[in-house]
Amino acid sequence: MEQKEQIFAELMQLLGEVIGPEVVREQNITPDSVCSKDIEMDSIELVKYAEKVNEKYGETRDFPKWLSEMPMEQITSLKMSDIVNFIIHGDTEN
Amino acid sequence: MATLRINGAEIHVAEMNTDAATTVVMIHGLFTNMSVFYFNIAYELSKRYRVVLYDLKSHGSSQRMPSGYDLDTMAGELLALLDALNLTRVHIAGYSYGALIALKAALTAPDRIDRLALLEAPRPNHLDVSTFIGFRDLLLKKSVDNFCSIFKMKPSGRAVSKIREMSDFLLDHTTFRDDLDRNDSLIDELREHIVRKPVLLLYGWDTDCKDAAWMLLALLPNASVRWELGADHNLPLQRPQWVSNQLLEFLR
Repeated sequence: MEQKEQIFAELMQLLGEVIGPEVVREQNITPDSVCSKDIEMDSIELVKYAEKVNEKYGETRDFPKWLSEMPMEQITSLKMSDIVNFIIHGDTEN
Repeated sequence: MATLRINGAEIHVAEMNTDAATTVVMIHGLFTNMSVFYFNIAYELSKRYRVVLYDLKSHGSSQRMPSGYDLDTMAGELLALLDALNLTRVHIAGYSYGALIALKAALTAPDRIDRLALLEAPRPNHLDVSTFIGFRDLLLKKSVDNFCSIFKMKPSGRAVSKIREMSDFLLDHTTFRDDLDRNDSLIDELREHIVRKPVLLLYGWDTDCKDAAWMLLALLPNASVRWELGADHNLPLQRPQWVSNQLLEFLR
């Protein structure tokens, strides 16, 4: 499996732990899904997701810190693919 | 991510920079959760301090509880949280109702709190039942509108349903309304037991809590106030960098 696909699958697993696997299935989530608008994560779910992602990848990537350096507009337009790229590259480059 | 059992409730707690010598505990307000601070102000503070955030019971990811929303009980839960984390002495930053919880804790256990930062603290005797019953729809509308504006969402969907569900739970299925009536004594307590700690009051200029600022300035001899133009009661969401700078300067 390509690295991006593998990370996306792992992130989906973590997402299911936060919002529930049934919600993940219903939302038809893709790498282009926006966390707030498409997945409808609320603020506390985003906090829990940030903590989960940090537990898994925190040795090499500080996900909450990355989010904290973004203006709110950027956080609200964050796509799943942005998180995948951050995990792989440390930023959102493709 | 941690869940601690505090006075019978499972409380969601997050910590940052746990190696720092000095701790700041941050308390959110009613009908919101720790995310008010988590992604911006808390991270700025964590560059210098250990930061502890928690979701009040029935808020965020903490357990829903049927009773105990008065300041006395909630300040007791704050102090129990400090015990659970082995924190003997801390700074506290509280927002809205969280500011009143901080103030009550400073009255209850003055030796455990160094400095108090009160963001948009309301008048405790204005938080009566009629406020929440009479303005219930407005309150819900404001919560939903704020959320939708911040997250660029339409006022529908799962996230908005969760806000309504939580608000309905607090207002219809708990002792929340009655508990607010028990907070009137805070002003008398502040008159009888002067809080001499350094206190920073932060308000948006367009806040509907201005009278509380003047009242607290009169009651707290070591308080100072800062106003931010163009902001209102949603100050920490509207001006996180300004709030962070004010807190860092005050806590230094």
